[in-house]
Amino acid sequence: MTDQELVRQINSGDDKAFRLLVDRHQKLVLHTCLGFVQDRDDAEDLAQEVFVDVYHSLPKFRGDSKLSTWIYRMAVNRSLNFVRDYKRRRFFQAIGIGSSDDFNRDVADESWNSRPDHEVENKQRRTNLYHAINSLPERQRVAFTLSKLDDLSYQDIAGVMGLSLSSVESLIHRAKLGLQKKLYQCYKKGS
Amino acid sequence: MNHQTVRNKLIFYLEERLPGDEQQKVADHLADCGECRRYFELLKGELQLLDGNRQQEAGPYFYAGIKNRIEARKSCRSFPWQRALQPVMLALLLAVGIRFGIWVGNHAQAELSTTEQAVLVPFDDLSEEPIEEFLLNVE
Repeated sequence: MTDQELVRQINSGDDKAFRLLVDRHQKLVLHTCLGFVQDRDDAEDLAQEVFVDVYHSLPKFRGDSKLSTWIYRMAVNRSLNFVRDYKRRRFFQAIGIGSSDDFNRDVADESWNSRPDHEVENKQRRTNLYHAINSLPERQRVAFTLSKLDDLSYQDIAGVMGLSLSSVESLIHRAKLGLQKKLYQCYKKGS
Repeated sequence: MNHQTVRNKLIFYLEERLPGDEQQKVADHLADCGECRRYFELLKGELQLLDGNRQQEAGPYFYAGIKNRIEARKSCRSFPWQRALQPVMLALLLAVGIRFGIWVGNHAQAELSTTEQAVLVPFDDLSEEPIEEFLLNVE
């Protein structure tokens, strides 16, 4: 079944067609969200929200781009909004405004107790890596995440981001240099 | 190749995107330099963590979760008057609050002016009880 047929059937209220769409694209959406959000549960929540958005926005899908590109774009926008909200929450927690539940949960998540050593080390490394990725400028981060985590071709990334191929190449090149530099700083601090 | 140049090329070396001779030069440098090799191993390990994401699968209740969210959103949308009523109620509450504030202000003002009048009426105790009479009465 082609994407256009799938969209038509979903719009006419076919649940099985929607299920098929989710089955086809759930991996790519989850991986995209995981590229921006470190926590797996958060990423899965986000991915579900993306499909809810897709379900409600499908009647507006005109078919100008590939369906997968359109869904990617939604996943990227949702993830970026989540990261922005998260940063905002952290800021308010840091200055003592807002609920303390989230803060406690984060602290508990990052607790080093009751975890085997290698898991703790992996978690620390993962935290460093995501910290480095998240400190990249937004467009570099999106381009790098899509290329590295989702194995998208540069052409597809250009479609998702609405940029030219050469801009994407340049963004990814700069992102890699920036990431390398930030990870080296972490390495120097750790050694 | 110096250390800095090698470190700047490591991520591309890992992906084997360097031109042939540069790829070899970086490999030679890594074979000789322990410090750069340690950093290379760290970088390799970090980037391998990202590969782990590609093996992640959605949970078994992923689709059920989506359906629940869609239903929840539909039930929210089935009461559009609630959404329309919200700003009206807020505006009404605000108006009542402002009116109440004005009433409290006026009331307090009225009480204050009465009190002020009571305080401001001068009590001329000399006319009530002249000093001579007072002194005569003092024992």
